[in-house]
Amino acid sequence: MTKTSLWRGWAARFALALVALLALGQIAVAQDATPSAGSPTAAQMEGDALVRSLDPTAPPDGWTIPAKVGHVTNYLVHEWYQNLTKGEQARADEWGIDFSINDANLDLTKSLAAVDDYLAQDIDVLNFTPVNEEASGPKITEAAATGIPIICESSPTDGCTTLVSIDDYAAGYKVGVWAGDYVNENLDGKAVILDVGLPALSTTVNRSQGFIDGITSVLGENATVAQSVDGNGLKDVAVQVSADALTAHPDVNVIFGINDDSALGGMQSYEAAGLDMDKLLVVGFGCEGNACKDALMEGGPYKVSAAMFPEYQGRLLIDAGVAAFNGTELAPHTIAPSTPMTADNLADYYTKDGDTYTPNFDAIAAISIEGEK
Amino acid sequence: MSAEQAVRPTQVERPSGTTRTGDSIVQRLLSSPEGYLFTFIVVVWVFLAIKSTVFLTERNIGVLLSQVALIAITGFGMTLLLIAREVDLSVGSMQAFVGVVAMQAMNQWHYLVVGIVVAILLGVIVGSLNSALTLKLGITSFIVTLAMMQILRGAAYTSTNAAVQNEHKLSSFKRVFNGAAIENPVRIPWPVVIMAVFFVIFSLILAKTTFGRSLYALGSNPEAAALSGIHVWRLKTICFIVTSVMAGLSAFMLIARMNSGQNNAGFGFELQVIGAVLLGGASLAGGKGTILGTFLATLLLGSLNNGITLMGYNPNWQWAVTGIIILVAVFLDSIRRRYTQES
Amino acid sequence: METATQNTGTQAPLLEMRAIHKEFPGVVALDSVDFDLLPGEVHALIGENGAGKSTMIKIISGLYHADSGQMLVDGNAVDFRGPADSIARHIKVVYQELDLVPGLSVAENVFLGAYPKRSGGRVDWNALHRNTKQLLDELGLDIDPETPVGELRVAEQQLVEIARALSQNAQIVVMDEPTSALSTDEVDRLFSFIRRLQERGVGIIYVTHKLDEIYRIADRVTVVRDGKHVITTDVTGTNPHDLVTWMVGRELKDLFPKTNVKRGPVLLRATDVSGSGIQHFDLTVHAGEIVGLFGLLGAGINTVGRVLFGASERTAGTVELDGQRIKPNSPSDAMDKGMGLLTEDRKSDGLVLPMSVRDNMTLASLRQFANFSWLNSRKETKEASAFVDRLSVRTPSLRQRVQLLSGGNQQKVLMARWLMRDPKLLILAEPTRGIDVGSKSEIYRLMDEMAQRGLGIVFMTTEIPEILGIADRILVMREGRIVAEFGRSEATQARLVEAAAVAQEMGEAA
Repeated sequence: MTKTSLWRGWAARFALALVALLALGQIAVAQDATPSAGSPTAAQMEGDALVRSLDPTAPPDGWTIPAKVGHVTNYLVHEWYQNLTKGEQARADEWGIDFSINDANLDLTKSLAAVDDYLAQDIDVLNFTPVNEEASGPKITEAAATGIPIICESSPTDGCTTLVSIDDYAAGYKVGVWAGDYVNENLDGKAVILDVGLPALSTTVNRSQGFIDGITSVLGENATVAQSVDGNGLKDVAVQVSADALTAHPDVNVIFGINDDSALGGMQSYEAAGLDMDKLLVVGFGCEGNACKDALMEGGPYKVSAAMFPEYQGRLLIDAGVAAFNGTELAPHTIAPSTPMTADNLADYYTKDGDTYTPNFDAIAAISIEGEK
Repeated sequence: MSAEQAVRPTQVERPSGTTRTGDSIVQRLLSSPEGYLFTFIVVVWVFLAIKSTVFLTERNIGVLLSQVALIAITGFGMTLLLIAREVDLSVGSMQAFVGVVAMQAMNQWHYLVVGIVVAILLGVIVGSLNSALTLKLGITSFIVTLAMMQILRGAAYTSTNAAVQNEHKLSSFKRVFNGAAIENPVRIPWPVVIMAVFFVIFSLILAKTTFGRSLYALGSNPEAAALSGIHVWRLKTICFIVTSVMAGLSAFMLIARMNSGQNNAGFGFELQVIGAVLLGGASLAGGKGTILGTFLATLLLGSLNNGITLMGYNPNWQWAVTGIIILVAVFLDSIRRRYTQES
Repeated sequence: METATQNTGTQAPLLEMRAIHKEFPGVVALDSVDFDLLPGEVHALIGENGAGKSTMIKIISGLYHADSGQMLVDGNAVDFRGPADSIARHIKVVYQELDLVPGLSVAENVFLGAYPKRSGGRVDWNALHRNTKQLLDELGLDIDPETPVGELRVAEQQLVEIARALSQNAQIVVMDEPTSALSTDEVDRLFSFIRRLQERGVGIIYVTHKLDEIYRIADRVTVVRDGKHVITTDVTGTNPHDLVTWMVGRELKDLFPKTNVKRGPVLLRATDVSGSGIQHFDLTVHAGEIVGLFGLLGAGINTVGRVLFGASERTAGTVELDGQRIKPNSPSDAMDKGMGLLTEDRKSDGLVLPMSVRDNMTLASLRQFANFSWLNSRKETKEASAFVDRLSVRTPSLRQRVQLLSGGNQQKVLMARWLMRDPKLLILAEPTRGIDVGSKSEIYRLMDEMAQRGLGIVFMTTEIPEILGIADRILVMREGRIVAEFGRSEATQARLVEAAAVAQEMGEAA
């Protein structure tokens, strides 16, 4: 191979790596919810309430259950999607729905082709996670024109019947308030924050902002952000940038991460720096996997995470589809619940059996979503 | 001919310039990649030391060198490979694959040494595969290792859909390999000590052994090397395996640093490594490169990244600054070559 | 002698160089050199490598700028700041390394950058091909203008390059060793071509190492040595002996110092060897014997060496050295059993150009300088230094990059590489190609000396004088087979050419 073509190869690889990094950041944070404009109508609120109260053993009179539901995911290997689709499958089984998954593996073309495939198979409801929300708009609008409900996950996309996701800002705010209270009680009321963020995405920026606003609402001027770093949503990157930031700011006592890996990475660097673990609070986001739950239960500095309950979101996705299929009017955004999860309340939401955590849907469904959008 | 020319033979046929110029310090520094990298580092360090009070602290230098160590250790292997006119793009995926497997192995058997052996063994296997596919099938290593990069990434995802957590809780694991903890008697983080040891070993191998000499000859002129009785195939195989083993060791240190085996670790790691090795004076055309150059390049890029975070600059600058540094270095190198009539 | 036109001496010179001085750091490349070129003359420029010929050419072509002195073209002082200035003055330099674009056609190359245009700026392809055809016809070249240059043989490419010079209306053509890659036939064609240029009044500066060519084509000759002008004289009235003496600055008693060595026992026995490019090849070499292989380009003489050594494929036959069978396709086995191979192309598969003189010398015998692969560099230096003395390699130091040595000295470095291994048999493929006459003589002396010590030597060449001068036995090859064999006393130029020419005719018939 000539030098030139090798270099061209490098350029291509470099671009590819960039794209992959960005894409990975996108899935690693798993959620995207730009709050939609305007407040829902009365009918929509009614529909929303109906979705949350559905019971497969006793469907409303006259409803037909969709025969086939398919989900076009963007990155199935990630733990978030593993657990989300697990929830979907379980709920579909309860309804007696034939549920299937088609993963795009971060490939936009593949993602759009998968939509066509499902349409050709006369799917009744399509669940959709975009690889790229902008680029998917036309295809989803076209699919919606066939009359089937399209339930989107993660990012709002043109043509969606509804988007099922948490309110990132509100979830961040809630966990921020919790952290503020904790700091008041245990860390002398002063918080110096390291924010391990991902500035490239609006959802993760909302999470960071929600957290900072929440903790400030409790501590006021006693909460300061020492530094915001870009951890790319990846643990190895988070470890590296946190290590650098912590040498500059060894007085940090609160580490916030926009996902579990970011928070755990920041904590790892703090420990490696030989700083006092007893004077640290780590706040995570998502808590979709065992790593976070184990860390919470361990009793270390990782005290709280804004839990996003992927299994429950999977259930909501299916239920929203069933309702829409039967003509129920839904709000543009079906809020999925989120709450600050700690060692104390984890057992309310998950039952641990050996190495597996089984979600307790009733408790999760009971989480208030009031005021969230 | 004067003694001075004997020392600096490359100056004999300078095509332009009518008078003989003396050897100023500046000229000497700019006469080799190592020289101008060193100059760069001094400039960057002085700048950072002035701008940031923490930069020159023991703690920060420890953090910086620990981060440099991961890239440099793989970079030392990659230097050999690039000298031999081959390349390995799979070292990034190795970080993920070796990481999850080694962590699982330690969770299973509760011995630190099991993890290290697994890391080395996987390195040997992957390196052997890379070399066998490249040399036996005659496919360029660029393609072979690009495929291997995908395969290993896929394997990492398949073997676990979540990060493999540290369940063995071996105290030696963190103590010995974890990034910046300055716990050992010499107060130097272990990854840095390990890097230093490999630095010495690899430098000596390249400069003082038949292997090193043969490698440079092979990279500069494979035909001539083969006709001089050098076993091209054997040498390249060794380089492939060494690179993968070093990547495996980097991966082991990375999981110690993260305290988990992440299947999404090491994205873009291969570009960082290869970029540093090229910046250090190696060439994709083979025959060139030194361990010192690789180390200095890694240190320079690491210092910039460290400095950008320390100063609280927008981290996106890391991409741009790295690119600019590489361009400047390539530019300086082209000037140097013009003046020394290097081919 | 076939000198075409005699210059009158009254014409105004096309080009004049007066007291040209050029220094590089530490080296005076040209020391007050004078030179002139008349219209319609072929002016040979000769000298050993490093004498200053290349620097002169580069100053004429505008690549270098003289430190002092004056250059005149058509009587006007010029000050070239780059090759473009030189081209603008109708000067064309044809280098050894051709700068044609292989992917483009002959016509496109000839008129590169100056295509005939239609109105509107489109290339007029018909005119382009017509003009090229005309030009090629004029030169007696039967080449289709639309052939891609990459498909032509090197010799033809060279002629195309010269055609390009004509298309640019060159008045001064500089040829740098134009025949080094040409067959006898092609040399004839080139010469008739040069004569046509002469008839048009073009002045030609002809740089060469081949003295016989000077007597065939040149009108005057200028000799340079160590950056100084030695003599400019009409070729008539000189003899090769004078030229060599001027070039090397000393009397060469004998260019070919061949001594009679008593033939020893059989050393190499190759039986019925076939492989890439050679068929049913038999060869026996005795200790102390120099066997020459002669053939035209493409006759396969050089592949013989590669096949015997194992660098090219051997599909059948046996090779025995000193009674030991040598494995096919394994250079290291051949080396271990005492064989050495110097290939015909120093740069592509001999030298490691960026490495030092010492490291190039020791490359094939690293093991003898190492303890458990740890190199003893003092021992290396000592041994390399001994060889530098023994072979009189001219280098400023052992650490000099071999790239910067002259061709002759590079060749000596490669000979040292093999001699260091103390081989039994050495295969030398065109060992004197492209090197100056002084170095050639030294290489012959070395070969003789090695033979005296009992080495067997196989050497390949396309140059008849040297094979007659140095070989004990001469084998003539065609198409990978041996077609004739002559003892030293029976071989003559005519016989060799006849045997080779038959080969060529048969080659063309086939």
